[in-house]
Amino acid sequence: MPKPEFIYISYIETTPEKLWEALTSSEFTKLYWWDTSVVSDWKVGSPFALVLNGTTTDVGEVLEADRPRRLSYTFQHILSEPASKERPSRVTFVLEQYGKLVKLTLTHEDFAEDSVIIDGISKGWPAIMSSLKSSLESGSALVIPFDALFIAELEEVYRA
Amino acid sequence: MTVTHDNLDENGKAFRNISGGWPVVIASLKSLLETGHELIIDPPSVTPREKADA
Repeated sequence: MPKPEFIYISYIETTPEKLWEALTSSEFTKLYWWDTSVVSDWKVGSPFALVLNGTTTDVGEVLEADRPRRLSYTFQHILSEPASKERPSRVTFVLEQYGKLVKLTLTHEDFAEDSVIIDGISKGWPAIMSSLKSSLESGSALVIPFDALFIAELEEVYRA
Repeated sequence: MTVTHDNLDENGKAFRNISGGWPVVIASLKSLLETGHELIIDPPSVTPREKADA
C-alpha cells in the first residue's frame, strides 16, 4: 500500500517573497488561519509552533528554510491525546515562480502508521490554503466555518 | 467545492496530467470568481516534467 500523504497545489497571483512572508509571519497567518500564529525564527533546527489564543496546538522543528523557495518543518499535534502520542509528520512548502504567479506545492507526509491526524489534516489544509490565496489576491481572507470541515475533534478544541 | 476525478489508472499518463491540470483550472476559477480576473498560466510551464520525459 502506498504511504499516505497529503498534497495540495495552488497557483497564486503574488510574488515568492510575499508568499513566503504569508507562510512565516505570525501576524500574517492570523489573518487567514483561524487566528492561528506560526511561531519560529525559521532557522534550521529551531522550534516551530502553531499558537491559537495563547494555546500551543502544534509543534515541530524547522528542517529547511530556503527563502523564498522551500520551507519544511516537522509537525505534531499536541492538543488531543492520541495525536500527541504519534511521532511527528513532515510539512513542506515549495514555491515556484511562473511569471506573475507562484505555484505553491504543499506536501504533508511521513505520517505515523494508522495516524489519527491525517483525516483532520486533509480537511484543514484546503481551507487554510484557500483562505491564504484569497488574502494575497483580494486582500481579504476567507472566514471558513468549522462546520464545513467536518472535523469533530478539532471543532471542540477550537470552540472552547 | 469538492472535485473528484476517479476511475483513473494510477500509473497512467492521464492520471499524471490530470493531477497537474486540475489545480491550475481550479486556482484560476477561484481567482476569476473572487477578483474578477482569471490567472494567466502558460500551459507548458505547468508540466515541465512532460517535456523531460519525452
